[in-house]
Amino acid sequence: MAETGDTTVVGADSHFKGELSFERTAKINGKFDGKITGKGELQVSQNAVCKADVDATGVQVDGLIEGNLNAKDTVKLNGSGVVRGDITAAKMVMTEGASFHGMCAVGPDSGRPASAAPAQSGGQAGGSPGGSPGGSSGGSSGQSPKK
Amino acid sequence: MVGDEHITKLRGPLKELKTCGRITVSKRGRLIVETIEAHGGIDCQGIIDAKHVLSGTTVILGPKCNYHGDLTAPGVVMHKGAKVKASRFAVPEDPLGLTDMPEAGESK
Repeated sequence: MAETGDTTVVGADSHFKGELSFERTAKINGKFDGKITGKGELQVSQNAVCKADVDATGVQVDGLIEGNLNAKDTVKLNGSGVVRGDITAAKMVMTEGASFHGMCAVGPDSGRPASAAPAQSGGQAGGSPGGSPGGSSGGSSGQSPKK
Repeated sequence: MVGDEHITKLRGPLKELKTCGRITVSKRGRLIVETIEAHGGIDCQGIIDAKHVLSGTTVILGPKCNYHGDLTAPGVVMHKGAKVKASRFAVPEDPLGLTDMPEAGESK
């Protein structure tokens, strides 16, 4: 694992297994298995394969992420990006060509527990309130309370 | 199934909305229905609240949209600011299955 300036980089020819935590920016160019936690932005490059649960402020996906993704700020899912897992984020940008299988909860209240969110008003289309409609493809489903 | 219809306002409960055309929910629009099927795609700038949503082409979720419902579509464009209430998304990598197609000139 290399560090260029403020960015922690997992190289294109490397395979990392374990837990990674970073302060500013991390970039995955190769393969990663495990768990990623960070205060800054995580970038997953086009040919990168990341089998991990990610918890960061921002995430930019050009490669593949298999696992749940939790972002305090923005998730950017670019055209070549693939996510198989659940996404919880305050903001999300998804480009045409991106692929995504899983539960999605986006909004300023999405990361908060249901009891902390303001009460919902207005009609529902018969859906269970706050419940997840069916299973998810990527591990824990639904808008689960913050662990 | 409706081919081409412009609904400005419709009150009362609606269970399903199916069209081979496109559904556009404008900025102050609100569509609350159980099932949505739009083969020409969906452009949501307002509110969509549904159980199941199926689109034949790319779904656009605008910056001020509020979306809820299990979504199956070949593509999604989500703008920054769009709000999505816990919904299951199924956006395949290769919606046309072109990767399984034999190359030009290649015999099976």
